Amino acid sequence: MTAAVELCGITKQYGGRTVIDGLSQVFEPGLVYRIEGPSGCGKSTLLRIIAGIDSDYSGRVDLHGAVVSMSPQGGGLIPGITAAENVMIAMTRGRGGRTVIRDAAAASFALLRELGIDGGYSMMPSEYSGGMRARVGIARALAREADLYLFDEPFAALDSSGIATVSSVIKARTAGKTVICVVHDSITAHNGSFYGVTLRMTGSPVSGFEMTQCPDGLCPDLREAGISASKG
Amino acid sequence: MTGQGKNNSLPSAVKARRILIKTAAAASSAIFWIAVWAAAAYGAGSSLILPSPAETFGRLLSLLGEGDFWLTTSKSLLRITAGTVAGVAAGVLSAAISCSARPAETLMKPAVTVIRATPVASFIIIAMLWIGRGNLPSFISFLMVFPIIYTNTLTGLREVGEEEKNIAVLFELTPAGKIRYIYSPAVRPYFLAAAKTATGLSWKAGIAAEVLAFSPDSIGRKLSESKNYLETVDLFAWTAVVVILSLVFEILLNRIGRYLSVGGRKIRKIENELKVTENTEGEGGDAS
Repeated sequence: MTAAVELCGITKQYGGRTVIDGLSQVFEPGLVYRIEGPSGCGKSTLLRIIAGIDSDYSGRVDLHGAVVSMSPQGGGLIPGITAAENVMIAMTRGRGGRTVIRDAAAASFALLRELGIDGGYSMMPSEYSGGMRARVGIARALAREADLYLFDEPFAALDSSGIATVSSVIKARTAGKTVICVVHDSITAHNGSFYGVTLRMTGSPVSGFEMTQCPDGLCPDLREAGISASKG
Repeated sequence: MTGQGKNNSLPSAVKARRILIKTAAAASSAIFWIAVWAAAAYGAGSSLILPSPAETFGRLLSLLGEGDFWLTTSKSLLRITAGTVAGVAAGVLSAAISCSARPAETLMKPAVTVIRATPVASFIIIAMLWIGRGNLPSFISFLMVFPIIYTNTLTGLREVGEEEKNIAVLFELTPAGKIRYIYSPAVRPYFLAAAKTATGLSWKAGIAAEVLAFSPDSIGRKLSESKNYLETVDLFAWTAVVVILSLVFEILLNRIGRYLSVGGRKIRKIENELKVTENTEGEGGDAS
């Protein structure tokens, strides 16, 4: 996938209150974006809109055919199936015979192990801690062959070593793909190692982004442009 | 970070001990109640009023040797099973339709309420006029099972939250995948609880229908005849047959329940197989 992800004039309301007001933004392909902002400013809503699971908005999202994968806040696991099955559905879409299931299970075990969960793959999400559930949700997102990966507060329930592990796995598994990661302000200090372009949501309601960090050489064009808020 | 399931890693000796304790407790409980029954029969002093467990089970054994017993039992079993299966299928299907279309639920609500509230005896008498004696037990079993399965399955389906539906959309689950990974796990506990209650009721009501309709070649007819000829031992023996068949149904349902929740076991099995493969390869590597 070489095309960018474009948001054009996204406006979202909740119960008559405007949360996002005419937000436009281009996410360049192959880059990693970290979106920051205070709690309740619409970060998660924006990810859900991009993922296509929130269609109650005005404006336009152009993915240019990109396949999207997402890890919702807290993992978003299906409660009635095992941790491994939660990951496997991203690979099999619920299809496949014995061999496909076995291969998907083996791949899910490997992914979960990479993310720091060593065993207990047949446990239900309710038997997992918040941190483990978040890791399973991240594993499920990474299990899908996608062009665009969306992570909603992936580090919220993790300690500093967990953040380092998960961060490095995300980096390795999504190399060359577009990544948009929503991070709450309070967690920012703990994940300085997370690479990429940092955008802060601005305005109330949110109407644009301000670039607060852009690693050298990663995105010179964006650095020059300053990624200013572009309403409408 | 590691994790273990509740009973996944229990040694087989501990599991065997638990099963033994559970079986012993169930057996002790059964023995206690049989003893109470025996004492009551002894107190009654007449098998016409209350036959003893020995008389009842003795008669049951002698019934097993009669060809008529098997014909009667299998016909009752067939009728009630047919009604139960039809009730389960109709209940699940109707719940699925009601869950996906609110008008369907509105339409179903009065029917289900009336079926639940109407006394079984009324249905038996009314239905006897419509469908005759032969199929009446199936119809009554169906009526007992349908509203329970419908209501509980619908409740389970409604438990599926927006988040889970979104996951299904996001990861493009196939319709079969949605049923397997999203809807079945949500419905399973409600369905199994309902199925246990419903099958118990279907046996009771189905046999009652056979008694009132005097259905040909039926356990109900045998019960009715036993009552008419004051053969209390036969009455108890045939009742024991109903209880045993009902228990067999419950055991089968438990098995189905375990089969439906097979996901965890499957994953554990694959996990163990992969561990064995890794260990074998590790040992092979060490040896070379």
